[in-house]
Amino acid sequence: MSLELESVTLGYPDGERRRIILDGMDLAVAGGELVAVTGPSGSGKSTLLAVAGTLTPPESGRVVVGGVDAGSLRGGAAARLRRERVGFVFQQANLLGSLTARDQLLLAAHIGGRRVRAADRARAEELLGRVGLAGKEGRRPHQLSGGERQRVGVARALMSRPAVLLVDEPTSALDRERGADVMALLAEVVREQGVAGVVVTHDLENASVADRVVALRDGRLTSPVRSAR
Amino acid sequence: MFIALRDLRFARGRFALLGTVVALLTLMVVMLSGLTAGLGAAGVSALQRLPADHLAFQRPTGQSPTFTGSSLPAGAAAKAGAVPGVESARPLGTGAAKLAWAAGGERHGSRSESVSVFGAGPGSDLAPRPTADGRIQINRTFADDTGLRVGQRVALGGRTVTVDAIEDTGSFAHLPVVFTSLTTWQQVTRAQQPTVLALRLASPAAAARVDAAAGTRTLTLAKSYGAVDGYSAEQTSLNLMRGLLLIVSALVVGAYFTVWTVQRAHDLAVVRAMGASRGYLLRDALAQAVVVLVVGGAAGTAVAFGAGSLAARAAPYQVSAGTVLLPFALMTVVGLVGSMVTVRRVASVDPLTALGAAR
Repeated sequence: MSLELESVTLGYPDGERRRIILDGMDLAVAGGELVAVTGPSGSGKSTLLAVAGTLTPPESGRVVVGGVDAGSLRGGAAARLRRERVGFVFQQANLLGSLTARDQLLLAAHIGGRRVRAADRARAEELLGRVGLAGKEGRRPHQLSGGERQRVGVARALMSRPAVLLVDEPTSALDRERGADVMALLAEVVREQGVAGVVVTHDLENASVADRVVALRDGRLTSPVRSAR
Repeated sequence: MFIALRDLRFARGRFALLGTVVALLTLMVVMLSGLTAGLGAAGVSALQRLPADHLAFQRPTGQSPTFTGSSLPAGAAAKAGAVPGVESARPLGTGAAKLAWAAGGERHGSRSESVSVFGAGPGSDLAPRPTADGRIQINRTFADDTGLRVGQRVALGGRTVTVDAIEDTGSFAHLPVVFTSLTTWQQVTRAQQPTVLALRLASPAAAARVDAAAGTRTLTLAKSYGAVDGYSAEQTSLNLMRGLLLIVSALVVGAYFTVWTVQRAHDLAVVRAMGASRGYLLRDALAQAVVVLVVGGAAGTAVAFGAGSLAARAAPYQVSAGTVLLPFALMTVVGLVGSMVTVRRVASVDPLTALGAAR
């Protein structure tokens, strides 16, 4: 499995009480598989992504990302793992305003501390072409539509050839048609690139493109709402 | 520098504004440095040229000796010269007088200027050339400005003397220095005794022995600049202004980069979530500050160099590496210190805030 979460528990202080967000949760996603996690707002969907993406260490349990036990990684080691094995697609794309579409991808190559090479440029062009943005490589975020920005976000997440793709509410800022396009694109690239994909969304209709759809309730993932298509 | 350079291009108007502010502040610091050095030289450059390492003053009744208040005890030069460790002890008279001469040209008349008068004894090497009674050596710049020439007869303090030579005599108390003999100096200034002893000591320890033997207070040549009336106050004021400008620079640059960092905190969180280390973001942020400071500072320095070169023709202003490049380097360092206030903010960006639920 490219992504495994075993008995993961995480809580936050909530006044004088402690609120459990993830309660011994299990999730395993294979390369090339897209799992949609649904649930109401505040159910812990983004927290699940944070734990899977090494942004937040779990209190207990095991997190394996691309074959690396990531549960105990902190600081620089966690950042390195994210850089090399995790791709994030954020809500509203979260692109950097000063960077062109091409540079958004090249940044993913540059933050590893090495010079951007011709091979990086070629991969950036290839990925932007793959997500339907050929000819728009030089445009900045304000020159792109919402759907195009999210497509750049998808291409950026794939730039470092990650083992795991974590997608946070990718359609929340898009209309239904564009949202469906982005979800379909995600399902395609996950299979093509062989990455383990987890997409959190509250939109069951958009989630239907995933191989599995699970719901997060009371800190645990329920049995599949719908299993493999 | 990946993000830094692209930010600079993208937000060029905003960074141009900061660069202009840095340029103006650098312009002021460099100009003020040139003026400080120029005024300092106008105050003491004649002392800097003396072939001496210490000056002995009349022991003052107050805290510090001054040139205007010093009149050496009789026989001080002979007593000091006999002290072991003293290589040479030559009396020097300092004072001010009016130099007047008949002006030629279309409009005949007389002209006068204030000058500092230095008196050096016969055989003394304190003056550029050996001095002689009734003859003076005038400052080259002063000669250029006034048209005075060798052989011209002038009135110095009411006494007629002849211009004997034109030399680089320097300035003292903001007046061009005229060298003459000790005797003529006494006649012109109506002083009884020389003002100071110009000493060359084998070791600084000999200074105390000179003071004990001759009843003087000996200062190093550099410290004796403070004995020129107004020199210390003038330099302190100008340096205080320079210091305040540097502090303002640090605050301006620090405030700008703080606001800038706060505005792009979410972008930084996204980059951290993508796997960038804290060091990567810090290097990028500091590189951005360096570019703005160096480009803005270089522009300000270039303008100040041009303006200073013009100013030096008409005012006590000095253009040198110390008054141009050093303030530029200082501004860059101070600006960087100011921008360091953002380091903590950049380093403490939480990548978790890039995720929707945490915003």
